[in-house]
Amino acid sequence: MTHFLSFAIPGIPYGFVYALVAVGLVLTYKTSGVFNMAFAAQAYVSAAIYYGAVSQHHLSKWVGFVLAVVVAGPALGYVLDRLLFRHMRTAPTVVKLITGLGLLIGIPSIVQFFWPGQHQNPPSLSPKPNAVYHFGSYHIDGNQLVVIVAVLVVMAGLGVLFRFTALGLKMRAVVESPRMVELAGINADRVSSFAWMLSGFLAALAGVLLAPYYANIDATNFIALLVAAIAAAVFAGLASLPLALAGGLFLGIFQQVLTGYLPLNSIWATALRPSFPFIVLVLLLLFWPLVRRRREAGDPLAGVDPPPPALAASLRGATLDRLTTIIFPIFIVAYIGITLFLVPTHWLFLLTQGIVYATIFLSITALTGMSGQISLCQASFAGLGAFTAGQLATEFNINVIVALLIGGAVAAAAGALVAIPTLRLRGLYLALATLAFALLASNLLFPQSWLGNGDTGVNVPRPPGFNGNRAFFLLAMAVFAVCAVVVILVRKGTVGRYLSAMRGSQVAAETIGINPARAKITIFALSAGIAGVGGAMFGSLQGTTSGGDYNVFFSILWIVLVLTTGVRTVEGAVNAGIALVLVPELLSDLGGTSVFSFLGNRVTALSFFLFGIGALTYAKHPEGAVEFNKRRSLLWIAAWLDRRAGREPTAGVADAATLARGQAPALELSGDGQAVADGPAPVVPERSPHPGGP
Amino acid sequence: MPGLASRVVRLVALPAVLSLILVACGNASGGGGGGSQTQGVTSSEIDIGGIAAKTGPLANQYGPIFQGVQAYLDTQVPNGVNGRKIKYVAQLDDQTLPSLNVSQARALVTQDNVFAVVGVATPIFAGGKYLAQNNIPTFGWNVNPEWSDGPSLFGEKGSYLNFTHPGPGIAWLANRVGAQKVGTIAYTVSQSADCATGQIYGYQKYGAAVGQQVVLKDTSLPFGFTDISGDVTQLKNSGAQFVGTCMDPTGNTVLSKGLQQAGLYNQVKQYWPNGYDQSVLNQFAPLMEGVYFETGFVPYAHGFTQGMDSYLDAMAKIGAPVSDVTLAGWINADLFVTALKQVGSNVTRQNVINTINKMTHYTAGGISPGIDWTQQHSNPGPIDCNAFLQVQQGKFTSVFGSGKNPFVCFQSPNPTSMTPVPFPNDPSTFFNSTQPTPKTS
Repeated sequence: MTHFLSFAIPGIPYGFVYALVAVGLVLTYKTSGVFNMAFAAQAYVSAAIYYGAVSQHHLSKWVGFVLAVVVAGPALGYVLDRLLFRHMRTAPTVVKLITGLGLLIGIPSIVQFFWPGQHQNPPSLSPKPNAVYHFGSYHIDGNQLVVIVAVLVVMAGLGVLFRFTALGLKMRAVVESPRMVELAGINADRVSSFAWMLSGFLAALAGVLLAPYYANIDATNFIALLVAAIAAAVFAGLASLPLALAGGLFLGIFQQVLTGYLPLNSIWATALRPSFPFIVLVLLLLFWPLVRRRREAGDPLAGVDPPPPALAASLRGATLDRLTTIIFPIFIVAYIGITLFLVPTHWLFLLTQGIVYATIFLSITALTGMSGQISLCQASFAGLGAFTAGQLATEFNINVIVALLIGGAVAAAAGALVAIPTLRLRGLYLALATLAFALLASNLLFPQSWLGNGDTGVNVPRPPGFNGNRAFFLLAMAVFAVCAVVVILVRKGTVGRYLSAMRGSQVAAETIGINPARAKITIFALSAGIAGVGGAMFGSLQGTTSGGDYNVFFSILWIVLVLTTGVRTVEGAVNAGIALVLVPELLSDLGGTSVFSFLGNRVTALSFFLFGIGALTYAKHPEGAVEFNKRRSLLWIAAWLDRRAGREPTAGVADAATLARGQAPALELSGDGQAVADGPAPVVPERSPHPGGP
Repeated sequence: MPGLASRVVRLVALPAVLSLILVACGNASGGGGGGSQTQGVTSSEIDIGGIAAKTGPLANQYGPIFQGVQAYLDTQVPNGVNGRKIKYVAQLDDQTLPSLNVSQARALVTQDNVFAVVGVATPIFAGGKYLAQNNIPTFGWNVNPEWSDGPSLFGEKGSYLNFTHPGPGIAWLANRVGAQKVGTIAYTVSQSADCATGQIYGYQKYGAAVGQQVVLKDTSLPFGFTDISGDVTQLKNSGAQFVGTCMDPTGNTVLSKGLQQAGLYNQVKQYWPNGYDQSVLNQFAPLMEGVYFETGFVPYAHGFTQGMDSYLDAMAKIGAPVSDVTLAGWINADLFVTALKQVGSNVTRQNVINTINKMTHYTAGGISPGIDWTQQHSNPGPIDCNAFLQVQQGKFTSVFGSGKNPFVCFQSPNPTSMTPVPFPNDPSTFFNSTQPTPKTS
């Protein structure tokens, strides 16, 4: 018992911080229907403010606390609600999730832009962080004590708020039904704002309390905290605050207890210790009764979504279509020719990188574009493909092209393995499960010498005959073309149509004999396989690659980027891939000029900020920027052609609502299954319909 | 479905046909190689570039290498070499991302058109392979196994690195301070874990003969997470007397604090591979008192050699930190300039590389005991000398040396015991500083 307690007691402060974040997550979910992935970013911002106030400007800890936790935390929460999430209350889960993920990337990036450099030894909230308090043969230091006291006070306050105050009652009511609450004369928006401010306060407090446990103020530390708290929130079924508290506490304690019972130099300790929260999260998502119960309850129509609108290419008339048939191949040839013979070597390398990224992004087009489900482990599949190809080529002297294909196959198998246990999960829960798998891959698999070989990485040679940059560029184009064709054929084929039907209504799809399990496993495997092939090409292009190239941050960044440009088309993937390499390069070149020299080494921070903020457009344009602009251009061209021919432009052209709402549903369903009439029905121009283009 | 078929043809056939037709042309030229042998050299200038992890979790450890290089160029060769000034045209940041390191290495050669890469400091030197394959003279801080990738890559202490099978230095130190129960603590990060493996190897191979017993090996700490309470408890329960850490200074200070809080500070002697840095001491002096350090170079103090005096004076002049990474930059620049001087007017990449690879006893002007570049790309070399230091009354103090010579040297390669061997240079000429030698103990 003494041995157990000597490890359990130091785990209590961690457990309390996890609990704090878990309670914040459950609170925002309960009151606004948003699972706030940006929570980690909010924690980071407040930790940064506290550090700046206390360590850099030498203000007192109380002043720092007020600025960072009492003022900045709630203020940021209010801003997020007022500007963004309030307007998304009835939006689909995926929109809210992507917005949160975009903020998770964008907010820390903008902080780093204005606050570059290293920020070490974050200060503690405790006035005496190094003081030691003994309890028998155990001891805790000042920092640990302040964490315990602060969280206990906050928990007590929340308990009083929810149980004994009118405001707490209103907050619980808003969760049940915002419409009913408004009918009772209560301003649901105001209640929701308060909930966001409260949650912002909790995030800020968690950030400031946890920061001293790390060597630096770094956003990735708070993402790890977020995932651990997600496990606690899932334990609570995203509903119960006391369970969220208990879950966080257990997680923190058991993570420390592992230190005492695992042999410290064994693979169990090395792998399990950092991965424990992720393993718990996966197990909870798969087996915890509260999660199952939540999934199965509610309106049978809750899972019904209208089909997405036809792609913008369907707006093309016959003339435009003929022109496209001629111009497109010329464009491709010109692009290849210019890249091969006119573009400098460095840019040739960058464009090749862009095409390889586009290949990986086709995996997101396949999975998210067809099934509407979010996967946050695509980078892990890419890494699996790269490492498999590299190990086979270097350790077993297998032909690199064959190794690339085997890498893709191994990644596909992994995709199927991920899909099988998560068949019953959808939407948010599926995204969380894939997030946990991504973290497990980074912490458990990639460090192994037989796979990712830790930080040293794996060499992935270029295929024989493709060592030169130009030759490799052509190979990358060919691989991309093949993957693009596969994606298009699948989309138009049986699997694509099954997925489309399941997206509309899984129940209805099953009644007509569609096997959702098979469709889901197929698309996961296909998507993972494409990511694996793309990852292998990436490794081959780089020459050496390691786990750091495929961590969860990149999974999140990639999905955010592809959803911004357009997830349903190959063009969206291409645009995302090229943007990912060109934006930082152009900003870097800009930073080399005297006018913009202040950009300096903050180019990456600015790039990520732009990518993250770009995701906020997803709420208004879920079809993606490419589709939106294509639709707008085509409508303009159609109107011009009509005017030239002396015809009146069709109603669809002049109708700004149609343009703005490129998605056409007359009915939208909110996250909890309430049907909401929304906007006029769309007007489709009177032309012969055309199958959607690439 | 004629429309679909034509689209398939467009998408597949064109690129495929173009690939077949053009791949021969593609291979023939534009291979993306390193440019010409004299790229970056003009009649008045030689262009160099560098890559460091200037941003990222360990940024302050790697970024200052550029200062070390620039300080050498400004103070030692302000007018250049043989009429050509050496100009830093790019100091790139790989942000601790392996993929970016590769891109930056290529960018230095194909976009910035540098002659050589001088000053590389990063946790994962993924671009090393490209630089080695293209025979670009490259100089940097050898903390990665990639430095052995080719004969054109030159680390500041040789290019060979083997964390897992080091010499007997640390086992000797543990024995010298009277410890028999020894241990090591490391992060899961591979370099940290390899360092721990090396320490255990040393204790078991060289320390077993004097009764050393490994009582703790922990390689499971997540990097950057600073809770060591579990390890402190394990050290207490095992009766450990000496612990080598393979962590960064922040992790080390957390361990120190934990030992103090548990009342173990005097019982458990600490050795820190990282942290021999005055700025770290300024920040954490109370947590470093009595801690041991080791360096393979002359200690950072005036009074040993003129080479070290010059380095220290230059760092003070420009306000740069005195640390392993700026010293690495200084040595990198010195090796590059020494080679340029020997090459004379016919400055080509191959000439520079060949000149360095003929050096059998390079001492960086009296900072290193000696590097044999005919073998130290892929071998440990014939010299393994360690200068030990301890923090005494808030100062780094050289310990266990003799007279002006701070080094304890061991047989190399393949030492069979921890018995010291003589210093491989004549101390009377090697330790040539005209300043008073610092106090040693």
